[in-house]
Amino acid sequence: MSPPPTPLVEVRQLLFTRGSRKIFDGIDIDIQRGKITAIMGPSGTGKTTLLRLIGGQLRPDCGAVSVEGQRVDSLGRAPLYALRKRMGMLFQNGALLTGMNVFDNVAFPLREHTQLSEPLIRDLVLMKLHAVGLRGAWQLQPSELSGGMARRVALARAIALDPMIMMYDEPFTGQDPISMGVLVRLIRQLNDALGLTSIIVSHDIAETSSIADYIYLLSNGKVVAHGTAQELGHSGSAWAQQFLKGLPDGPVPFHYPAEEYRRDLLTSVVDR
Amino acid sequence: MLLAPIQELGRKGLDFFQRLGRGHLLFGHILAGLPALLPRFGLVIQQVFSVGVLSLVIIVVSGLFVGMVLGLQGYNTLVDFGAEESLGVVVALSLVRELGPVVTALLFAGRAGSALTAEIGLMKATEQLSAMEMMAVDPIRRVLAPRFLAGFISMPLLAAIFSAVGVLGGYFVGVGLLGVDQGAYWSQMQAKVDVYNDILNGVTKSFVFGVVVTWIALFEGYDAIPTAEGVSRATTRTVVHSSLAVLGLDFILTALMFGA
Amino acid sequence: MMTTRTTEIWVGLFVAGGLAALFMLAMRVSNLSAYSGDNGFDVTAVYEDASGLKVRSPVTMAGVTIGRVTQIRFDPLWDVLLKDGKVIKQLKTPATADVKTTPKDNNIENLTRRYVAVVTLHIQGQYDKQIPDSSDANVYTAGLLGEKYIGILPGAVTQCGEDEELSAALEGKPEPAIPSTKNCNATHFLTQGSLIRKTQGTLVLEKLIAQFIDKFSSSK
Repeated sequence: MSPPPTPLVEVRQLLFTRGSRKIFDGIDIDIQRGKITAIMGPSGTGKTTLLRLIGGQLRPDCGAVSVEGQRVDSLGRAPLYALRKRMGMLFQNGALLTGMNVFDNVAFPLREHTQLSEPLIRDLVLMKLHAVGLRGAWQLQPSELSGGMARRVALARAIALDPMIMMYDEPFTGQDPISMGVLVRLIRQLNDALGLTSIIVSHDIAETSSIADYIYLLSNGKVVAHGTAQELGHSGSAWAQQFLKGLPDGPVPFHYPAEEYRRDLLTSVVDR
Repeated sequence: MLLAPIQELGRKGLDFFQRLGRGHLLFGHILAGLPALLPRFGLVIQQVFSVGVLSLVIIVVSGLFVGMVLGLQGYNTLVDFGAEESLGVVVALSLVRELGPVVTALLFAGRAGSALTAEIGLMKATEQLSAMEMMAVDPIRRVLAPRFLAGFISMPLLAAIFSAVGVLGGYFVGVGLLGVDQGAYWSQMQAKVDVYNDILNGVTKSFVFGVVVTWIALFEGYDAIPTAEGVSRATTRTVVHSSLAVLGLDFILTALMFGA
Repeated sequence: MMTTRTTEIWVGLFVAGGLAALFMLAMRVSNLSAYSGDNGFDVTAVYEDASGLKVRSPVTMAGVTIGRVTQIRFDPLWDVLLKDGKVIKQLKTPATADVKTTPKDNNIENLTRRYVAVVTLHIQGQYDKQIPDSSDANVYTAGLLGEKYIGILPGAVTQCGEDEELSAALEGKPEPAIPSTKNCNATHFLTQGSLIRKTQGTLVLEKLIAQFIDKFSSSK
């Protein structure tokens, strides 16, 4: 194989703490251009935090995050905002702006960042809405949308400025099978049709591994395993196996650390 | 064991100063965002509607009743000295100097301030502010600054409406019900109320209150813990803190303007 | 975009209502109307005692407010030229130098330094050149406990021939001669920068009693 092209996003020796808790303890992640990369791990491993670090909303304590060769962690305000115009992010619940209907939500980034005429914006918005299959819902209020529809509208909004990179924060959580299927297909299609680079943060193994080209498994602030879905299936790590197969007990114990069961039951409350 | 309360006190103090610092940073950030609003004044108009127009009913009704009560109470006191002709002066000076700006600010904190905090807090909790940041839109400039300007504009107008309606309320009671001479009501008022000393100072007060209440409301919303509980607590804090701030500042402003 | 339109209309009404309320407070509730068309003029009066007088105290004539006190200051640098005990000219010091260079003025009896309150009265423009400058401007008290105000008692106006006019009117003669403006020399009427010479400051009770006792004991 030829040497791999430079990755679009490079995370090097990333250290991030919240209070005294280490969220990331020196991790390295590469996001390849044009691919869908999944970051997976149990809840509370800071997957969302990683997206915020890449988007420059948080700054790492140590280490480097670069997007397209630019160091996000030390970027000034103006270049950071310029960079963000080329990043799209889908938030967990869509984060549609209340008080604006679907159309205005999708038009929001266009109106903020371009001087396009209203008819042109209208065409663009309808095109984006059509791509997610919600052109007919343009005048609904966010409160009238189901969770899946809200995420699709948010997706249309995220791609309104034709970004180079899309970040999905838990896109499948709390979705019924149909809207989950719709989202899975949309993410793949958009990635290929628009030539995007996608990052998915999720713990829905089946859906994510069905579309991800490359997967990183995170746990306790470290990268436990990485590779394609197939490679991970054969991985020797016991933890990875437990996570991927969803086993109730294993390296991650079923029980929260506690005193010995018998002793706990037999001691009276007064003795404590 | 003994040091625990002292440590707690220290922690609270540090918390307080950190919040104060964040509040001032936010204030500076909002002010820096104001010039950019001029070409997009539609945003501000939208907010003047939700901050000012929607507060109108409570302001008008309260102003009317406060004016009527002042008329009644003022009359009962003044009539003992045979000075009921001065009712207009009592009503107008109480309203223009104190009650107009202060009561309006308190009602504004309850009506518009709490709504602002809840709105901003919910936008934070539902990641709308974050989403804006990721769309390269500064939420402080896009969301907070127009609301701040709207509060700054609305408060003096609301206070003026409150005072004007209150003077009319005092007129209804004093002249309409209690038989004070209507010419005396107006002429004594005009002779004793000064545009610069009384009205302008009242308006200045309401500008200051507008800034402070809106600022506290926006800060509490922006600084709220992004959960349902956090937002509800921030809303309560807005009403409590801005009421205290208004009353405390009123004393200071009154001392500066009318004292000494 | 229907909602934007209604919002804008409401905001327009709100702002208009607020400004109308402010306007009402200014015009109807307060005394701004007295300042209206502010083309009035300032005259100066000097008092030996201006206690109780305040900025914005009314200046009245025949019981009608015609102006307000706009400034009260104590100015030890005002020297006063006296003739027959009456103030005829006030000069900023060093006035002594001025007097020495103008010895022609034989009327000047002496030059005394007096410590006085200098009060500026702002009188409405419609009374410009209407009030004789020989008028008195005295400090009075409204009621027993009321505030102090300046009452102007008009001086003689015969120069304008008003007496003739009045008697002509009384006698029923048609078309009395219109007084010529020549007689109505502007210097005889109060206008911008005029000085009211005849003034009576605040009467302080202790001073009155002291004077009374003084007179009483000296007459004995």
